[in-house]
Amino acid sequence: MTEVATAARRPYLLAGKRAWVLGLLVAAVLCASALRLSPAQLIPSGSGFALLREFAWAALTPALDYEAPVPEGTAPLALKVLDSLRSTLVFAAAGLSLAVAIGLPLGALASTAWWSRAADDSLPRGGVRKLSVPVLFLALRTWIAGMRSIHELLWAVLLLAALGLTPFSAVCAIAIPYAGTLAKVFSELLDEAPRDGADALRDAGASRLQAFLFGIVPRAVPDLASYVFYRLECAVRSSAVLGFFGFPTVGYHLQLAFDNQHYHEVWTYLWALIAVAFLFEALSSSLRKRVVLR
Amino acid sequence: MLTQLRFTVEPGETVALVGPSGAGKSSLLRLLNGSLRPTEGTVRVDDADLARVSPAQLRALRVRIGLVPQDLGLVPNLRVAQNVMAGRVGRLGLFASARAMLRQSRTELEEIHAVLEDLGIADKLFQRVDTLSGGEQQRVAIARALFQKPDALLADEPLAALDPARAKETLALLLDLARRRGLTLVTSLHDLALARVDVPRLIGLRGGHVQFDRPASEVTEPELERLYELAPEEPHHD
Repeated sequence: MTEVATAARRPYLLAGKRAWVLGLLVAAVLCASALRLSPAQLIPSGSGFALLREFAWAALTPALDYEAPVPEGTAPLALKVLDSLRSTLVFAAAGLSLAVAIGLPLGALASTAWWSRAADDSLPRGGVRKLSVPVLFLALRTWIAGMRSIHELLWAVLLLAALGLTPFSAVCAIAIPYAGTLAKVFSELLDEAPRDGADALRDAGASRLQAFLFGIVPRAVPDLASYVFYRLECAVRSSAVLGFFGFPTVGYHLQLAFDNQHYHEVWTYLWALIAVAFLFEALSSSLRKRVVLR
Repeated sequence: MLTQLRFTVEPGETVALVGPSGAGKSSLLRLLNGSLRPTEGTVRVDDADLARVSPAQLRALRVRIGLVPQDLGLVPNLRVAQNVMAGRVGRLGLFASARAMLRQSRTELEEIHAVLEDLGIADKLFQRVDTLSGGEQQRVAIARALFQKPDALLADEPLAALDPARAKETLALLLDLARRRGLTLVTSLHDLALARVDVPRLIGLRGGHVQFDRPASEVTEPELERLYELAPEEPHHD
């Protein structure tokens, strides 16, 4: 039983994983000292403490009406909250829809499943193929990585400068990085899907595209659907934060209320956002059950 | 590794490939539909050399050759009707096939139902494939190949997932379907007893060679023993 003997001898001081764990710990300590982090900083100053207490109290008593007098004819706070939620959802849905439209084809093209054996006989053969496929593949992957490596807030800064404060710049700011993430996840789901169904389709004379669409894609669809729903949740958060730039989403009103120190109003918006998150969670888990376990 | 093979299968003929595992039965079947290419020699289907046809011609040939692969190649989270429909996709354009996969017309459903009825699983028409038993899935794969309306049917161990009684019944069904539809049938079978009784022509493969190729009634006991005996001269690496 030589294997047992070697296995018993192996765990030496800095073997494999241990070295990694230790290295990470050392790195964490180095980072903390570079940033001069100390636990004392976690304790707020006197005025900070008062603010924290006020803010915490406001969490328990969100505003049901405006905290300061408003001009005649202003819509009630509840309506304003609902309206900001509506536009938050609309921006999120528009951004994600565009992301799906861009991300799914990109993801399909960036999957190895697309370029592999099932593809064999309709691509150019020999030298051209050997050279062109890896180059195309790499270019696509890099492009996708570029889309998602820039955060939606940075895209918003760029697009605001380029397009101005139009709804389209908010939608694009969400759509670009989300399309990149969707493309990456979709291509991974496609690559994890077994290929036997596609092979059987090829054997029955199906084209490469048909084999891909009917043999591989259906297997990725349940996971993809539940992932898209999760991303919708994320998009709602992104869309809310984009309000800080002046788009009429929750963030816009949140910032105004915060600047005016109307903390109870701040919490009204925050609770509304949290309610939406819960709603989405319930919806997406029921969707998962429907799609996956039917 | 297959070497020194030379045989012809006539239209409408039924042939069983027999031999121990690793003899090359699956590879031979894959050569016959062009999903494997020979490094030497030629495979001809209707006088077309499979290594020389264009991709489009290969597709056209494959449309006429149904294959039931050993792993079945079904899409588990699609319904039986969709999996059977997949057999017809090669005859349709992209949009027509997408429509057919998403929603089968009434006539298509009736046709699929008829094929499933032949195989005794008509009641499974709208079930998801992953809810079916192994034997039922085997039949769905056969149904898909039949729905393809092929001229020839290749089946790789179509009885592997079945219990002995079911295996006998399914082989009889395959032979009967082939006869009624005038199909050329080439099937690999590891169950020699079944093959000998029911299949007219046997090709014995061992280590990539043809050991014999003759009517089942003429295959002798010693030949069969030699086909399956554990060869001491071939080292095993398990």
